[in-house]
Amino acid sequence: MSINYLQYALRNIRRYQRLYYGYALTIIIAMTIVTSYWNLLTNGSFQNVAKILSQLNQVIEMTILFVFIAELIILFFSILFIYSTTYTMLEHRKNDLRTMRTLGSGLSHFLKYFLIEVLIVGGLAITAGMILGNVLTKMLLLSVVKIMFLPPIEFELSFYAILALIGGAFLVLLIATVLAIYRFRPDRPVRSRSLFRRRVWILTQVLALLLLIYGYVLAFVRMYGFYMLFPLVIFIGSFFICRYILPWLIQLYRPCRLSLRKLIVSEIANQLRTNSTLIALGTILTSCALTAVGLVFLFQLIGLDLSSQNQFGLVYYEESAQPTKRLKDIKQTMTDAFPDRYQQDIEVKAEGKRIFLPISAYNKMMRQLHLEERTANGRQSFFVPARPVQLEENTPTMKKAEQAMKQEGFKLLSPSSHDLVFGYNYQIETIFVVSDAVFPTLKQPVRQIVVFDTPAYHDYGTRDWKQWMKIVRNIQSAAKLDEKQPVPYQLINETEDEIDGIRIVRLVTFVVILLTIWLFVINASFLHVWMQMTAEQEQKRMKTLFALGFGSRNIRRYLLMKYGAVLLIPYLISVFHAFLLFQVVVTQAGLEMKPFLNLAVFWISIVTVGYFLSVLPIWLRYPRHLFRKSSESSMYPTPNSRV
Amino acid sequence: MIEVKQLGKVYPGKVTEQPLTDVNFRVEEGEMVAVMGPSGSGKSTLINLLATLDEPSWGSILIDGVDTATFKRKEMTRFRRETLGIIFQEFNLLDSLTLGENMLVPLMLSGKKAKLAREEMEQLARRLQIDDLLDKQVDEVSGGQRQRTAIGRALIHTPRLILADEPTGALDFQATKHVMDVLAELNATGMTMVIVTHDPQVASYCNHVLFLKDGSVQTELFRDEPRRIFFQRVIESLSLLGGDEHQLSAIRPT
Repeated sequence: MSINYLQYALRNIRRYQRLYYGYALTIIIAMTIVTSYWNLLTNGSFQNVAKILSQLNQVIEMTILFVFIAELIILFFSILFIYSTTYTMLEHRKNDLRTMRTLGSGLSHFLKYFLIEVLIVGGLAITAGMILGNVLTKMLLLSVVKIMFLPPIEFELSFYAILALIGGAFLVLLIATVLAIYRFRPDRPVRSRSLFRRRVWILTQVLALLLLIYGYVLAFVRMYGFYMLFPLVIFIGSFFICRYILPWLIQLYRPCRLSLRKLIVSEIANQLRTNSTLIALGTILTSCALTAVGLVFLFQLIGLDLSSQNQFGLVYYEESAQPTKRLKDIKQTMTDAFPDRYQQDIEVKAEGKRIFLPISAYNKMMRQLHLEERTANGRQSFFVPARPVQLEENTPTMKKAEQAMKQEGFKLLSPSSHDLVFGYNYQIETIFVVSDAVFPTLKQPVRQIVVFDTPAYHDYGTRDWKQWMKIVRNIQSAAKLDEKQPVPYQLINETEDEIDGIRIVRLVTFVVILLTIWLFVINASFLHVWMQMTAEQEQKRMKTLFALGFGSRNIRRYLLMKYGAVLLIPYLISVFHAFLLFQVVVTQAGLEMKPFLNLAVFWISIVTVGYFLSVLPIWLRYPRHLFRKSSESSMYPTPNSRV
Repeated sequence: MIEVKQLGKVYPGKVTEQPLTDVNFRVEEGEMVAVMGPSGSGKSTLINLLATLDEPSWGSILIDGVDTATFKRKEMTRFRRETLGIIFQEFNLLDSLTLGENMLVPLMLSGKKAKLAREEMEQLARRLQIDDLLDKQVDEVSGGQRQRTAIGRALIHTPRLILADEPTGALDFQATKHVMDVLAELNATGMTMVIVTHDPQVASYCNHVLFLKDGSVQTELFRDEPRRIFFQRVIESLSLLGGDEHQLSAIRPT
C-alpha cells in the first residue's frame, strides 16, 4: 500500500465524479465545436474552394468573422465556466483542503495533486472533444458542401493545427484553473474583507448601477450606444435584479397568515440573493443564445435583401501563353452549358498580381456587354476595379500598384466605373488598361484570360435552384476547382449576390446553432454544479419542513416552484434584455416595430424551447432526488446527498 | 517549547467576536497539557493559532523562542509538516482514501520513499491496533478506529508537538480510554502535547491543565499526584469556575 500524488488525484476524481460530470461534458462539447470550427479554418481545401467560388470574397470573410466570434464566445465562457466550476469544487472540498493544510500541505503540494486531477479530467475531455470534433467536421463538410453549393471538399488534418488546438485548450484549462486556485488559496488563513476592499466593492456597485441606468435610458430612447453597453447591461442588470430588486419586491408580499406560499416566495428571494452572481452568469449565457438566434433572423433579412439579378460569368485565368487541356475542357463545358453565349480570349501581361490589359480587348468586351467604351493613348492608363466596391477602397496593394504605375511613367486616368465584376483573388488583384501602342512594349510575361459571358439563372430559364446548381457543379467539376493548384488558376466570376447572401445566412445559421447548443449545455452545467453544491443544505431544510409537519404534497410543490423560479428567472431577465436590444436594432434600421413583433415572438419561442429542453432534466430530477433523500429516516443529511 | 504572551483574537464582522483577549502560558518540552473551558471560551481558536492555521490579532506565540508571526508562508507549512501533528474531534480523515493511505498522507507531502513510508506506517498501525484495517474505507470502521487512524496520521512523521482538538469528543468510554492510553504512552517518549478537551477524565491524563474562561487563562493546575486524585482536583477547579453539568459533558454539542 502506498499513496502518491497521482493516486490521490485519481481517488479524488472518483470521490467527486458527480461534480466532474458537468465539468467534463461542457469541455467535451466546447472542444467538439471548437475543433470543428478550427478544422474548417485550417482546412486548405475548404479555404481554396471558398476562395475560388466566392470571388466577391464575402462568404469566406463572413466565415472567418463568424467562426472567429463564435470561438471567442466559446473561449470566454470556457474560461468563465472552468474558473467558476473549479472555484465551486474547491469550496465543496473545503474540509478536505483544510485537513490537508493542517497536515502541512502548502500551495505547491496542492497545485501538484489538484492540477493532476484537473489535467486528467480536462485532458480526457479535451481528447474526447477533439475526436468528436473531427467526426463533426466530416459531417459539417458534407453538409456545407450540400447547403453552400460547393464541390466535394477533402477532410484534411494538419499536424500543426492539431498541436496548436491542443496547446490552446490546455492553456485555457490551466489559466482558468490557476485563476480559481489563486482566488481560493487553500494555504492561507481565512481573512475577512478589509475596510478598503469593502469601500471599493460599494464604489464598484454604485458605478455599475449608474452604468446600468444609463444603459436602460439608451435602450428606452433607442440610441445606437446601447449596442456597446449591451454585454455590460445584461450582466449588471441581472445581478442587480436578482440581488436587490426582486428580493425587495418579494419582501413586499406579506400575507395575513404564514403559509406555504409565503415560505416558497421567501425561499425564492433567498436563493436569488445568495446566488445572484451565478444567476447573472446564467442570464448572460441565455442572452448570448437569444442574441445569436436573433442574428440569424437579422441575416435572414439581409440575406434576402441582397438578392439581385446580376450576371453570372466565368473568367478563366491561366499563367501561360499556350492553351492547356484544362482550358479546352472548361471551354467545352461552357459551350455545352451556354451554347449561344459570348466567349472572348484576351492576352494580358502580368507582373505579380498586377494585370495589364490592352484597350482594344477591353473595349471589345465593353461593346459585347453594351457598356461605354474608353480611350487610352500613349502612356495613359486606367484602373479597372475587380469589383465595384474596390473603387471606394484604398488597400495597400492598390496603393502599391498605383505607385508602381506612376514610377513606370503611366498617367493614370479616372478608374472605370462600370458594375462589372472581374476576378478577385490572389492572382488578379489589380487590373490596369493600357494603350495598344504601349502594350507590346511591356516586358512582363504574356498570360491569358478567357471571359465567358453567361446568363443569370433567372435569364437561363430555370427557376429551380437544384437545376441551376447542377450546371454550376458541372463547371466546377470540369475546372477541378476542389484541387489545390497555384497555377493555372481559375475563377468563377459569380456575380450572383443572391447565392452569396444565401450562403452567408446558412453558414451563420450553422455556426449559431452549434453555439446556441453549447451555450445551453454550459448553462445547464452551471446549474448542475450549483445544485450539487447546495444539496446538503437543501436536505437540512427539507428535514426541517418534514419535522414541522409539512405534508409530502406541499413539499413537492415547494421544491418544484422554488427551483422552477430559480431556473426561469434568469431566462425571463434575458428575454427582457434581448427584447431591449431587438427594439433598438429595429429602430436603428429605420423600421417600424409592429411588423417585426411576430418575428420577435417566433425568435424568442425558438430559444425558449431550447432553454426548457436544457433545464428540464435538472428541474425534474433535482427536486425529486432531494425529496427522496429527505424522506429517509435519518435526521441529518446523508453523506451521499449529491444528485 | 511553547510560550504564549498576551494572545488575543478578534473576528470582525456584523457581530464582532472576541474569543481570546489575553492568554499567557508556557508549555515545556515533553509536557502533556490539557486546555479546558466552557463552549465559546476560545479553546479551538487557541489550537488554530498554535497550529499557525490562523493569525493572532495581538500578542505572540513563541515556538522554541521564535515568534510564529515572523514565519513566512512556506515556513509555516514546513512547521506544520515537520514539527506538528494535529488530531481533530471529527477525525477529518480524507474519505477518498483508505485508512492506510490516510496515514501515509503526511509522508507523501514530505516526499518520503514509498517503501520506507509503508514500513513506518505498518509499524505504527500495529501499535495502534489498526493493522488489519488498513485497506478499509473510512466509512467502514468505527469512531474509535477512525480516531486511532487520525492519531496514526498525526504521528507518522514523528512530530515534536501534538495538538489535539477534542480527540475523544466523538468516542465512547472504552475508545476514549484506549486513545488516551496511546497518547500517554507517546508522551512518555518525550512528545509534547496540547489537548483541548471538555472531559476531566482526559485532562487527568495530562500533567498540566489550563482553564480558559472569557478569553483568558483563569487558572492552571500542575499534576504531582496519582491520576485519580488529579481528576478530583480538575473537577473541583471546574466547579470553582462555575462549571455545570453541561460543561463537563464529554460530547460537545454540534
